[in-house]
Amino acid sequence: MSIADFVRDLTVQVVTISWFIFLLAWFVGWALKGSPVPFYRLKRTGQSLIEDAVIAAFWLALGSSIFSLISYITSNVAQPMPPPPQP
Amino acid sequence: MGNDDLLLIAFNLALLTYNLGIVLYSLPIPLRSIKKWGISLVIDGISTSILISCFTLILSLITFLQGLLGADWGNYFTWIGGRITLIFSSFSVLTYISSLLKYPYTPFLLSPINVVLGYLSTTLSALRLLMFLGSFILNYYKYLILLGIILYSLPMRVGKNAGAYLIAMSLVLYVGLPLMPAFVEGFQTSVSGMGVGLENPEISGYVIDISGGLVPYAVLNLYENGELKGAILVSDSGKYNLGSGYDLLPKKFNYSVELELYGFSFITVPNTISSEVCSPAQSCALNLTVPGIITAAYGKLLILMPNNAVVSNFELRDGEVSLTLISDSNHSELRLISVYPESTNIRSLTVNDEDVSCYVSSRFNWYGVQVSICEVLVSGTAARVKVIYESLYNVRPTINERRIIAVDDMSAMLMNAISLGIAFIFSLVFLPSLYMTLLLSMSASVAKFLGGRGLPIKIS
Repeated sequence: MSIADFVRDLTVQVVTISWFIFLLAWFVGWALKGSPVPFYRLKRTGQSLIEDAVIAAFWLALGSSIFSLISYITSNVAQPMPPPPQP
Repeated sequence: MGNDDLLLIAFNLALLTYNLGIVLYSLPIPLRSIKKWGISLVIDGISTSILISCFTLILSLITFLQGLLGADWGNYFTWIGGRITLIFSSFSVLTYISSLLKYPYTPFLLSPINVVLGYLSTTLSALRLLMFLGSFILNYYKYLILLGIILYSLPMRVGKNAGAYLIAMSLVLYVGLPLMPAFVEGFQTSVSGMGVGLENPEISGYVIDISGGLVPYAVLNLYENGELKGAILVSDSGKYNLGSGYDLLPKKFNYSVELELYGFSFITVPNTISSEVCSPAQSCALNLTVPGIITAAYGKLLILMPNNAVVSNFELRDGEVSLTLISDSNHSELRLISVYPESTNIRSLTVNDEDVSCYVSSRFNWYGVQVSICEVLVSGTAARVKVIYESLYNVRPTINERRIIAVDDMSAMLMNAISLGIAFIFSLVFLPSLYMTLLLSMSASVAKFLGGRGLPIKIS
């Protein structure tokens, strides 16, 4: 197994873990928000956990698209340079 | 492992960084710092991927900048090679000078030469280092950039500073190092005509007697304004050497020559040796003729010619000399003087085929050689003289040679050499170091632009 494959496998595992953590955060967030405890700060924490989890899931889903967009743009930019001006 | 494989590893590392950032961000732990850390990891991943995609762009940027600034690697290596040759030639000249100074009365001159030699070796190592650095950067700058990118893309900013600095350094050095000759040449003004000028002529030649025979083991006394400047022993083959590793002659000199042999002094033709002899060449030959003597058997028998006679029908055979003396005036008698060392035996002396007894008029010591003189009176306008002798071995006078060391010129030359050594140090060690410092601080700035830490000290 080459280093690239190893890193790719690691990335896949991290992505999987990341989805589970999103689900976990989502549930924890709703559990906190919906808990019958009259503490406003606790409900706020649950709310922010849900928001963060949603944003993270959004970027996670968009991740490969972002990287391919960057590759696309830079491969278009990296055209051969014009020759330098002659004095 | 090619460029693409390394780039692939870096790209995967960037992806990993991004995903780790998201994991940190979405952790159900209500701590702001962890979330911030996650956000910065996401940004790192994106910026790294941009950097990776820009690899070819960076390479073409380097080429572009190089063309713009007129940097040429071939020129750089030629320049360093030229400087190394120059230093080697100065080195050989200085070692030559120090080999000249082997005489015991010039040790005070040796230490400045050693100082200059030290300077030169320092300069030489500096140039070697520059040569190595140049070829290293030229051959490996792509790999250095790739390595920098991989370090840069390691998660958690482990190698971000180092990676940024590696990329920046290879970029700046690849463009900047070939411009060093222009930088150094711009600053060096006094060292344009570098090179140790050793104007030390070499004069050598043979000492020849009236018959064309060589005169060995004579002593050449050199006078200037009546003062004895040098006493040089002629070799066993009748050759003398002035300069050429024995003397340091001054730039301008004019010595009158006196040849001394077995206690007698003779005038030579030419009777002066001057600096004009060789000019403009560095080495030349000058034979000295001694018209007043005949030497036989490699100097083992010396016959002094009378002033008022000419010699004709000269013949030299093994152990036998015959000649005809023709008196050029009305003198009825000629005094023929034969001089010989203790190793020579005169068997017979005939004048006009008559045996003449050669009585020894005096005997003395000349530089450790026992010399005998015998005189014969020859009458008549033309006399046929024949000497039969036997010679056993060569006798070398034990003379302490007095070689010519021009201390005034020597010190001027040494000062020249020292200032030259300092100029070498300045232009080939100090200026390149300054330039390298400039380049490295520039690299630090570029590294800061790429996301590294920049210079550890704050300049502004």
